[in-house]
Amino acid sequence: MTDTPENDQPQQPTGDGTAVLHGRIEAVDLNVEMQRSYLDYAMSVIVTRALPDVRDGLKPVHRRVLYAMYDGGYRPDRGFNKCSRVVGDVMGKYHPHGDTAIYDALVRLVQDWSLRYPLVAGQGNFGSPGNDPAAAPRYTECRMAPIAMEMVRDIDKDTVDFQDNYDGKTQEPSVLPSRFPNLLVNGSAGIAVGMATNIPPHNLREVAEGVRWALAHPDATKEELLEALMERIKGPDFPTHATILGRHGIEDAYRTGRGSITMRAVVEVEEIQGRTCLVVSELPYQVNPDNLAEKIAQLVRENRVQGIADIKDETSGRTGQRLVIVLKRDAVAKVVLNNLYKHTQLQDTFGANMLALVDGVPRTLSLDAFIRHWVAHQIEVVVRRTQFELREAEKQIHIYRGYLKALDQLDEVIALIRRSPDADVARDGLMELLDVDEIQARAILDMQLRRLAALQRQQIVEQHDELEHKIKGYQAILASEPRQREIVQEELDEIVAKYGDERRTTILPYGGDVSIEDLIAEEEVVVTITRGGYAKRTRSDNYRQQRRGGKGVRGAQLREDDIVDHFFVTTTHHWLLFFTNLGRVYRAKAYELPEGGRDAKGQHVANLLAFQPDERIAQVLALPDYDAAEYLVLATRRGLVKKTRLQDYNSPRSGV
Amino acid sequence: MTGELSHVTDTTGNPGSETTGGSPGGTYDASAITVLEGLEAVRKRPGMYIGSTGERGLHHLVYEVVDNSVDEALAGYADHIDVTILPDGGVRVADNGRGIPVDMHPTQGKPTVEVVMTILHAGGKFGGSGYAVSGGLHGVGVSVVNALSTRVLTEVRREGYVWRQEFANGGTPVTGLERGEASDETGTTQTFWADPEIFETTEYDFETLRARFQQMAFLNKGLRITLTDERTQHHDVLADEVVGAASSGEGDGTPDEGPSDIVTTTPSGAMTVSYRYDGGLTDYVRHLNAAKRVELVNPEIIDFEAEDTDKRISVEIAMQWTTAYSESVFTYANTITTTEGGTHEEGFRAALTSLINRYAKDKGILKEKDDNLTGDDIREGLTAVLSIKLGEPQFEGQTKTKLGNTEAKTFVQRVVNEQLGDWLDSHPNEARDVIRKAIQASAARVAARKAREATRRKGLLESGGMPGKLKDCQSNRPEDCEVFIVEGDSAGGSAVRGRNPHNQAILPIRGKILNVERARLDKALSNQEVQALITAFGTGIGEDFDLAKLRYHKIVLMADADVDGKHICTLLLTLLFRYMRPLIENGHVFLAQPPLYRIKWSNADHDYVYSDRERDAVVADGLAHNKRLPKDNGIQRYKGLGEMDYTELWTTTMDPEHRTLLQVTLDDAAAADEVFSVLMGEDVESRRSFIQRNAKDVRFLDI
Repeated sequence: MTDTPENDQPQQPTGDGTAVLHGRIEAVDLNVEMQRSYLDYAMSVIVTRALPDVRDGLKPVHRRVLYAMYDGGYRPDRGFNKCSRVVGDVMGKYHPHGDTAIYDALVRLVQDWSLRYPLVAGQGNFGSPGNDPAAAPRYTECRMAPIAMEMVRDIDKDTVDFQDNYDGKTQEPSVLPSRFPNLLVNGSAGIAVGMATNIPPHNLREVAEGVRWALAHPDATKEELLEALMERIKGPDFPTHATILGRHGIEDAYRTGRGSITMRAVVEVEEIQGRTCLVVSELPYQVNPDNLAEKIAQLVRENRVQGIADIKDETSGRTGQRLVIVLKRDAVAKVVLNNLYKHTQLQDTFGANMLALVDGVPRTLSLDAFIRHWVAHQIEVVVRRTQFELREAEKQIHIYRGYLKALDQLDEVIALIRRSPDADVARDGLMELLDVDEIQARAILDMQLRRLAALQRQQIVEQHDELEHKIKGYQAILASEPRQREIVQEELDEIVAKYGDERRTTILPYGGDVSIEDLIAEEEVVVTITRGGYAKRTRSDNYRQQRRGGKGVRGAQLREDDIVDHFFVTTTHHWLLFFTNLGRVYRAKAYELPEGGRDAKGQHVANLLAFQPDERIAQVLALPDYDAAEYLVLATRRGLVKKTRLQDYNSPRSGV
Repeated sequence: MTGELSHVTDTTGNPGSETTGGSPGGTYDASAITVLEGLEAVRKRPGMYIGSTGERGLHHLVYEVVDNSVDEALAGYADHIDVTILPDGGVRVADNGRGIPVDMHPTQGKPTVEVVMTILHAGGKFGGSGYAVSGGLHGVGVSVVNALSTRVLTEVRREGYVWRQEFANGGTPVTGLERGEASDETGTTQTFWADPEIFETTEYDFETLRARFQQMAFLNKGLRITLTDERTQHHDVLADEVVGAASSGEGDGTPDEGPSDIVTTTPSGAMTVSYRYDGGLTDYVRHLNAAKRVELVNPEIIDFEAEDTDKRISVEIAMQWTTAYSESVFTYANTITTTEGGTHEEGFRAALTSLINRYAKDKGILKEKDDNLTGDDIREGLTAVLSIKLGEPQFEGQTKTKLGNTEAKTFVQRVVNEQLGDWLDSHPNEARDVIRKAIQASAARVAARKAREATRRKGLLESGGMPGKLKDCQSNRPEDCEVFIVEGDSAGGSAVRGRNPHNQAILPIRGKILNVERARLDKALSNQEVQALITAFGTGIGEDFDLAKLRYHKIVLMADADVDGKHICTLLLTLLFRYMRPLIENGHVFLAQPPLYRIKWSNADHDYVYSDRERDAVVADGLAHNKRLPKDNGIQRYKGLGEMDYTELWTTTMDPEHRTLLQVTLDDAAAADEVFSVLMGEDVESRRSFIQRNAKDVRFLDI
């Protein structure tokens, strides 16, 4: 029997008597279920897992780590604590997911090659940029980095919203105050569903400069702000130093949110023990030096990069990154280096994709939007903090007003208290006597006797005045947006003065792509093309002069019945024009021909040029460039002659 | 014996004679014939010379005679061989070659024709100027045919006349060589009547001969072979020559010449068929592939030949890849089919395998880290004919159809390496197609092996070969049984303790299984979790899927009630939909519904609710009925199944009396196909737009 219960019948006894209960069965269409479940998952990953909030630049796990550390007292002014304690706090209180995921996130916050300004200070082995992982959390210790305190500063002053944690037992912040623009400064990377983000880190000073302009010009248009920012924020500033090539990718990323930024390692040519060496001292961001060395070794083994004799990794934590590539004696350092740039991560691109959550919705943002959203967040933080402080001050001044009233009628007050049978009566009496409310009356009752001393009384008056002054100040702040911006600026300035540092990554002018010619040394070659269509190039020094009686050396290995049709000397950088029997012209650079030894067969030209069936080479012409002569004269076997401007052959197509 | 090559027509023509085609040099006359042995031994032990005295041996006589003519054709002197089965049991073989020399043999004192016909191993030596290699069977010569026949008529047209000599009773000359009428034709006609006392049968089989001659025609390009059977008399169709179309006809994919199509009758009523293939092996390959009706991978047939005159060896190869799954490689040595293969085939295979692999790696079609393609992968869909001709073939094996010459291997290997290498170099696109096909074959082979391994039952016991983590149930009636697929061992423990072991099995899987939408079958099958699922279900996968073997009629996906659980559900459904769709189509797939919240009344039994709305309603209702909620943690949100006691899990989710199951139904397979592609496939853009279109439908978000 096939067990296919119908939908609305709650129980389906099987036909054979042994009643198998099925309970309630409802039908659900596969498509509906798939879409619904997938969407739930996707939205959850997008909104609450993989993407940073535009305001504090943190993903939920990082925010929870920081807040748990702040809340648990793992602060910069205290000692280090085991990471497993932090992980346990985070998991138990806020983040009901795997412990390894939390620890990995924590470790990243410590690594000074991952974050431009690390948010957690670590003690112990937190791994290396290479393949060494961090030690287990039971070994490592951590506490908040001083700069991380700026992320949570004023969080107790009602500056941000709190929400229930996963089990409703406690509360967690939905965003941190983030008193410096963390998202731009530290960057972020994450893969969600159907979208991903990759924001490069920046220099704090430059970003602060940008913020300063934005605060000073609140009415600037989007375009003005963007231009001003791009003037001040030169480009990403990676913790691993190195260089950025060209501003094109940076500008794309800043204007449109997407751009591909070319990063290049810093490599010096050194003479070590008489050998020319390439020394890699700074690597592009997120390049793993171990894998890089392995990749270079592989390229050397496969002969795809030539001229490398040895690779030595002399990196240590104390001397810093140092990968030494020992060159062969006849290698040209520039060519080897260009090849390495082309084939390895010595040159890499940072695919910027500046996506962040704005009000819980993923948005690809231009640079100005990042600053604008952060500034708006800061204004909100300042306003809410001021409101909080105003409330506190008003509560206090309220009490002081009571004190002042009591001091004015001190004797009556004392008499009233003395004759009161209990505190409640005394309170009510005071309320009546001084025209104060219950809170003030209570405060007066709680007052210590010594405050009645003359000096103390003076103090109360002063404090009252001071509070009054503060309140005026707070009210002024709340009333004035320029004042709020000023505060944001001042407080950011403090942070920058404390933590700001020099730019690490150098931005070099765009040198153009590495063209193939940069990768190939120009040398004299002999080109041999047979009638059968086999072509090769051979370095001319493979041929030697023979004296009298020389019996000749083999010039090419030919298939039987094949003969060498074309044979000439040129250089690797010259153009070759192939005129075929069908009256077509193809062109190629000499280096595109396969290199072969003196007696090699070569490769069929069909691999190089898109010949048509039965098409054969009639004539080959080698040119240094298209200005070598003005005209080209063609003559056919039947006597037709024409001349063509040589430049006309300079077409980007390989077949003309 | 087989090493000897002795046949009548030799490499040299008589320069003074009027032979057609002239002479390439040297002389072909009486002095060229050597005498080795008498014929009596042949009649005593015919098996030694022709293999058997059965049907096979009988046909062998025909081949022996025809081979002589073929040799003449190979030398370039004959282009037509006419074979006729006579009504009285004789066979006449006529060619238009030069004819056997008719002058007196210098040492034997007899006409050369008689020497050739009566003396064993009488034959020409190979001169340096003629053809270096020849066809020819075991090289015992036409004298053997003469020895085993009751009567033989030899007619030679040469030097302006027709010459005849007759033999009888095992090769005794009845007449001398007589000069007959004048003729300017040349050629030899042998007519023989096999001796019924020696042969068990003297009935020739038309079909056997026809197939053989067609093959010969393929193997000797340009040669026309006509076979006529005069034993039967038909009176319907006119004679029609069938010429293997080198340039037309089959090229368009018109079907091959099956015997019934092309065997026609002469005006006199005899069955006749004629073959000529100007393309030789190329035609052969085209003929073979046309019959298969498959798509071609390289439209142009690859063919090449090479000859080494010093070593007296030559080879000819034609090959073409098709999309078929089997290989069809046929090899011949001296036009004898070598069904057991041998050194020439070994050489071919070795060269092909190494060459293709080397080429693929060179061109980066095959990555350095990839495994090499095996010979089987490369030869999948390959149709190839290899014909080797060598001076001294050595045959081995049971049926003497395996070539043993070691030089053949190196020669073929070298030739294939060079020539096929050239072809690959000069046809990069076709070469890529061929290699791509081989890579597909390789992937399919790996996938097939994995599939077999993954789904193979290892023992006879019920749970034999079941994945280690599966907690099977007692019942072995699939219709009663349920299997719960749970997320992780944490939940697995609760489920195992909470289940009804009679009919509920539990299979915990680790975390998120592979997304099979984005992995090839072989990779999917190498995934442990996927294997465990397939094995537990018992149905196999893909083409091997057999619903009757399903071990549980309810497959219940029981993932945590959080978003990751939902993701796991989608991954599992993808696997089920893509590889085991009948499970869904037949309603075997269910989703468990664990509760979302527990409402812990302090003065009543706990309530379990399955949604936020239900929670609010139940709480309101409960409070209205004077139930009380504890202050702390009154409503528990279940984050995972591992959070529940086993009793809770049983009552809320697994107990058939209380649980709710969602049965997955498939209303629209085509739409589902698209949904899976969008949600689980490679295309990020479509997924992103799906999310953006539907973002408002979210029922809840994870914390």
